Amino acid sequence: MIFNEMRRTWNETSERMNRAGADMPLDGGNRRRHTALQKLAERYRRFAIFGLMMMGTVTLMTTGRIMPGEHRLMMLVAFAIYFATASLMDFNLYRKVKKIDCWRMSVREVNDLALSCRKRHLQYMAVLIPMAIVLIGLFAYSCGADRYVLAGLFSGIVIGLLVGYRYFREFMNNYKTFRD
Amino acid sequence: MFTETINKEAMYYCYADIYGLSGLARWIAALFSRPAKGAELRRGCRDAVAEAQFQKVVGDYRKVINGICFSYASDPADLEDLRQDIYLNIWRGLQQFKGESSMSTWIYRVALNTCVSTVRKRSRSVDTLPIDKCLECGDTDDDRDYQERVESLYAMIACLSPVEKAIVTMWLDGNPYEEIAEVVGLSKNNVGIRLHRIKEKLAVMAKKI
Repeated sequence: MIFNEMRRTWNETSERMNRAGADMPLDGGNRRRHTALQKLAERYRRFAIFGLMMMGTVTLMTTGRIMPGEHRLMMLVAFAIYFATASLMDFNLYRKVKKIDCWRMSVREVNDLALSCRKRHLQYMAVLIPMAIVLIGLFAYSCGADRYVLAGLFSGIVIGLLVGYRYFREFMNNYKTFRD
Repeated sequence: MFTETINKEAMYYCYADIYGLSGLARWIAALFSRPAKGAELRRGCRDAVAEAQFQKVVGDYRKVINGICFSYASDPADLEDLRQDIYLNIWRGLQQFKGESSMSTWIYRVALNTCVSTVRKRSRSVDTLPIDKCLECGDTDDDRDYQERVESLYAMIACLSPVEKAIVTMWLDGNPYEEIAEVVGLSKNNVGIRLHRIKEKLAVMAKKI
């Protein structure tokens, strides 16, 4: 009984939506824009390139005397490793997102891929955020920062971790809903 | 060749039709346009055919696409974005469609995959789509009754996983199990079992609502 009612409501809704949005959906200009998935892939690609550029810049800096402190070389190597890791991760995510083929894949395959992308994104963040914290700490140490700077850094890290934890919780709640 | 035998004026009008010009604009286009070459004309005709095909497909399956967007959207803006993305994917994929499956199966696949791959994080507090902004809801008793029914339907569908939503959407549209199985990527028996579970889930939710 309830399912007949559902079907009736469904058909009525489709009819009403049809009447409400009866205009032509896609004009010439809109056809050149990117879909949400393409925008996501583009964002990962840009980040991967940015990471590579930063790694290159940091590597070039080892030849000059731009970075202060006696641990200059160690710092530059740490930065280069960080940016290389970030770039690799973003490139991997880019490849995964590009694999999604809405025209040929089944819904289940697309759902699995999309879920795996979201999961991987979160895992990469879980690696990169602690790495960034260590890097900032090392940077402060090598610059010989005073206690006020260190206190500022510490409070920034705590706030960052709290915000990160909030998003992590939100993602995990959504992840459970999305999982098939 | 065929294209070379078409006279100059006819070609201008062909361009004017393709780019949606009319009246005075057509005349001005005919004055200032350069004559079309064979390859250009062929491309123009191909575009015109693709456009006509797209319009027909969208016209035939608008109801299906709207239903799918309704199942996956979390707010009216999201609904519009999803709809535009689906149309865009249909427009881009239509040229590659070789007829390995029926057009209906292909449309379902493209629309559902677009929604599944771009589904956004849903805020826990928002579990109903503001229907009055999307649909033509008046202030009569019938409309109020309809609004209640559609809100509870949306709340129930919103609790399902993306794959379950795909199955239930196709089932509500009255598609056979074979077609659902082909689109979702499950066996026919598996679709039956899943649908049974989904119905149980919906029945429990309906009692709560």
